[in-house]
Amino acid sequence: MSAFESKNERALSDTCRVGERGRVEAALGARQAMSAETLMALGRKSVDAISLNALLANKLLAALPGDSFERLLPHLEPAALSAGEDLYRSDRGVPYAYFPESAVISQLHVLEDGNMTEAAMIGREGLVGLSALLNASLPTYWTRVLIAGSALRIRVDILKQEFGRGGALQRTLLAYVGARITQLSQRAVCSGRHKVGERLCCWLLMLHDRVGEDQLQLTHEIIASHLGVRRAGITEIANALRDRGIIAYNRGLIRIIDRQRLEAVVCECYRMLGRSAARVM
Amino acid sequence: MLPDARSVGRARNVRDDDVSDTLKPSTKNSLLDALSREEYERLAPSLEEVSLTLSQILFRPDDEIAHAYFPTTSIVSLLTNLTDGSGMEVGLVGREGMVGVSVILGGNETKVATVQATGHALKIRADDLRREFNRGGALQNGLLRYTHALMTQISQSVVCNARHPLPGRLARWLLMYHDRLGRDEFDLTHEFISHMLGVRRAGVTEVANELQKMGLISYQYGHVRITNRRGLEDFTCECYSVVKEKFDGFLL
Repeated sequence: MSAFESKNERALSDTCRVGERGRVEAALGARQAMSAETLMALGRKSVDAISLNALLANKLLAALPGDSFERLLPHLEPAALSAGEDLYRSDRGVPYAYFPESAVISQLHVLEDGNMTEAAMIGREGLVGLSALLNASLPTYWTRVLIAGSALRIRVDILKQEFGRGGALQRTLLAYVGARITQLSQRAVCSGRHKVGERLCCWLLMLHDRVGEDQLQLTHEIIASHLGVRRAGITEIANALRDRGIIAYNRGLIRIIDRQRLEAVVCECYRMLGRSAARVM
Repeated sequence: MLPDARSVGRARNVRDDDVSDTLKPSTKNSLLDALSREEYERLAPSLEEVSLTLSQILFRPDDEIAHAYFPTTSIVSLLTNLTDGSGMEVGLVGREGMVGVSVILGGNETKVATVQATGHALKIRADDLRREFNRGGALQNGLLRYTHALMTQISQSVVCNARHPLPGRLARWLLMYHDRLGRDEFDLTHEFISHMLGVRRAGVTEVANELQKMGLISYQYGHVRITNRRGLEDFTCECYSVVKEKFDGFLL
């Protein structure tokens, strides 16, 4: 557990004991992510339920007004996701939607020859399971965990039922659909127009934003498959970034050392992608 | 002319093959045609038939959109522009869909919508569309499903642009265009093709020539004729059929 989380938990358990609205608001003001389990435990103790969710790591849940969140709360369950896990299988449909916390999930398009490319990356700013939410048939892409971590999951039929009520939940999730479309559109033009080096920097920055840690568990193989390029190309660029002291890597771990310089060499797409994510948050 | 539901009952101003006394008229847009008679009648007064002309811009990034458009005989291209002025087509909207999904999603547009094939569309004010959408009936369901199909179209372009050679990609766009237009001959400028492929205008002729040499199309002075549709389907990359499947039910 990170120092942030334990600090938050202390703040919140104090709050629960004392039951002072002002102190909850102070904790809210800090806007630090807390673990879902703690929050849910608190929620189930039916604490004065003013927007406790604002402390959740997932920004979509955090953005919901208290009453919308309260309706979801009993149906949310924590899920630990492991890297490489496929969340949906074609024979089982889409039973759950996932609100990632520390986990990062990829929307991967797999071609007949087995090659793949990532079209979208979803972390704590988003939600996985849009095909079911939008009443579409099974998705044509794979939904695979890129970085292991936690998420909150909810049965799709329940989420759809709540979505169908309209109101703040529907507005928040539709705004996220808009942000996802922006990510897809930007990445379509990026993959068509920009060099592999720029795309790699963009991808690393997006991942860094979502993970919130400098150390990323990634092999060159995985990066290459997600960007839809050859591994040798990734190794060459990664070497150049390492030689310039921007990243370090060994044995499947990449460490972001100089984020500012990554931002200086990235293509403009990163700024656009950041903007669309910020719109939801 | 905009089909008027009230006139249908009186069998006035409506072609015989469009309707019977009990059916509502066809608008020639799949999303609207999927509505119940009651829903269509509620929406019809808000729909205005407009002519869209080649290269007309319906909205630009950061616009808060005042209107959405249901194309009937026109085709609208969705472009993502880069700051150097180069753009790339990421989506295509014809009689299967609606231009301006951000009206229902909220927020501003990030794309440019440009008319790629002159024709008609039914235009609706954003507020009127939102009102019917918020009732949660067939329009909401249809627009949500359509939005996901559009997302699939856009996301398939991410992998296609990264992985597939230009001639197969051009074949894919021409097939998508052909599906929406329903005729074999059409005008398509070098500029539009350069946006479809993300290449300079000068490179367009070379790619089009490859398809021409195989006898799949003829392309001269910005005029395309599909000469062998089956051949195009065999030649195009797999992305065409992956996305087409998602539009089944919309593209009739």
